[in-house]
Amino acid sequence: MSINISHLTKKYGAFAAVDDLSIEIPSGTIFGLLGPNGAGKTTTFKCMLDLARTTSGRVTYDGKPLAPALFEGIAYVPERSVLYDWMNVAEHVEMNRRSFKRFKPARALELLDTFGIDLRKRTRSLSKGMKTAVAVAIAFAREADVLVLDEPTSGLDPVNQRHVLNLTINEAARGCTVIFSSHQIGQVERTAERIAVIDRGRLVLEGAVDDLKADRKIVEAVFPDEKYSLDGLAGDRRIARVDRSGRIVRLMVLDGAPEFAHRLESAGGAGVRIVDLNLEDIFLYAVAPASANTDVVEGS
Amino acid sequence: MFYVEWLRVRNALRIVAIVLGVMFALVVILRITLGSPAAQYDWIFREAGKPGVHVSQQRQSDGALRTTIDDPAKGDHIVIVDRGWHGKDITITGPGVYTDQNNVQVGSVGVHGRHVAGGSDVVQINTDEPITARILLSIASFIALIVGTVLAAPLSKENADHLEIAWTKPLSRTGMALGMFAVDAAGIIASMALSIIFTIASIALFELPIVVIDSQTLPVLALCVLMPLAWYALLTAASASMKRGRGAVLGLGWLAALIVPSIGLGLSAAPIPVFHALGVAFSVLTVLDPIAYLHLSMTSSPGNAEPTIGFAFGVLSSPALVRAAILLLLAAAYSALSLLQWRRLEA
Repeated sequence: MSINISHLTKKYGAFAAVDDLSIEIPSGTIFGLLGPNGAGKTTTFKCMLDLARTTSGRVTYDGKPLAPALFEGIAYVPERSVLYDWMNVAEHVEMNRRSFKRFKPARALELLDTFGIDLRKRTRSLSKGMKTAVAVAIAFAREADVLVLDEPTSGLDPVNQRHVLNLTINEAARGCTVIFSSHQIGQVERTAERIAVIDRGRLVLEGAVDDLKADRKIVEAVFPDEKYSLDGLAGDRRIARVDRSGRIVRLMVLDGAPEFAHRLESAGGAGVRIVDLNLEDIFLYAVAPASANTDVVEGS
Repeated sequence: MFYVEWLRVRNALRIVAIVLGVMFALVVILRITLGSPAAQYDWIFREAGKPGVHVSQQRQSDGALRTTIDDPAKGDHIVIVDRGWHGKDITITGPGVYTDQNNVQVGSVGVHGRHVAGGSDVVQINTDEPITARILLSIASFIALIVGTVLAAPLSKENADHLEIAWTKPLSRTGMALGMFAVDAAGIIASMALSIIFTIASIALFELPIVVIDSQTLPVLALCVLMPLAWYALLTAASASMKRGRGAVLGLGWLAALIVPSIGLGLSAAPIPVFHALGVAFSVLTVLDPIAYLHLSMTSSPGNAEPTIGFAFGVLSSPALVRAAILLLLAAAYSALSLLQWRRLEA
């Protein structure tokens, strides 16, 4: 099931938690939604699921607006636990069995066993990580068309984090569309095919992970003194950002890294090198606030 | 789809069953300790075996066995009409058999006596005194009010951290809320059934309970069922938008529901205009208060005059069926108010 988020805006009073956000998520894709705390990721998920009213914009699933019947195929794992404290784990499984025709109780029990969860325990006695595991196990047993996972590895130990990522990949292989957020960018890099980075409610970066990594390079040079000139470089739209730190200059370029390396050498730079970026670098460059020594090229 | 609400209802009914079970055990102990209310007249049956006492028996046309015991030595004349499962009527005539303390009714056993001039008293013991269904229903309605309070505010309970579960089920918000109301309503009615069973069983420990169903039973049944439902709906509406603090609404709700009619009643006849105006205001609130109808359902009886409470614009003293209709309207209005809030909530 494909998801289209079109010009989504959610305001709380004058504050725009999500601001004119547009994202297209193809069917069967694992899509990572990244952003610093308070960027609007959870609000975006809530608007997608009609848990919060959108101020403007629309979200469609296979071209259709969200209707209650669609929830048969949409599973959501919220960022914080929303389990019923007074119910035990088995009762949560039973609740889902009674609510969703496609829910597979045996699969849920198998996953809960993998996570080491005691079915008889009331959820109030579970740790944060165990609550996350319960929510994840139940969601993955839904045989959903769409999985919306808000920090699905929060509180889990590294072994179970890896387990959740593997399950996510398996779900996508089955044809499920997965959209998830995580502060563990390494996990997103390993799992997601496409990502979007939002900051203060606005989309600042979107694309396929491989393309973003292939296109973006850092070109770094050291000048003999601080009186160097970058005339002709700063205005180039292929440069996303220029960081200056004393005699060191770092250009984040979107395309044509060798050309810019040559131009820095021509300008007197020494030790010029082209550095590959990982997703964390790309994310940090996308959301890090510009300092006095940073020139952010508009429109890149 | 409404499994969570069903679990809440199950838990509430389990507590009701435990409480009623404990109370029943106490009644059993009471029954064993005190014996039957008619036990003080056991001497009647011993009397028949004494020398000089004349006993005769005769089958009546209605099948009842009539036993007559005459004790010439004491001057007692006793007639026992035994209708088997339908109880006994015992009439004792003799000098000094009656004291004023004898006029009692416990359950279906009634003891009534009178002094007769000339020293020959009469005491009548009936073990088949009828119990009106209205009494049973009123007791059940009170239990249901408590259960209704426990189950009330389901929307607030979901609003406190569970909307992400409730609203991602394949059902509309309205459908979800109405389903929860229906499950809770079934639980409230089930609690009434439990308490009726408990009451009848408790009476049966003493004598066979005979429940009289008359022309007023149906309107009072409607009143007694709708009252806790309207109360549940009121509390649900008052708390629907709340994430926290619904306990205060439920607790203070009872307090307000009991105080408002008292103030309305006390001030509506006040001669001072300010107080009178306050009394009118509280009278309006009283009409909206389902608990205000409780006392009236307990006292309404075809044989007795309806309570004549002039305040609250006479609504509370209208016939039971009219009051039931008003409660139905209140329940519907409070439910609609709850739904309006529920649809506007955000997770």
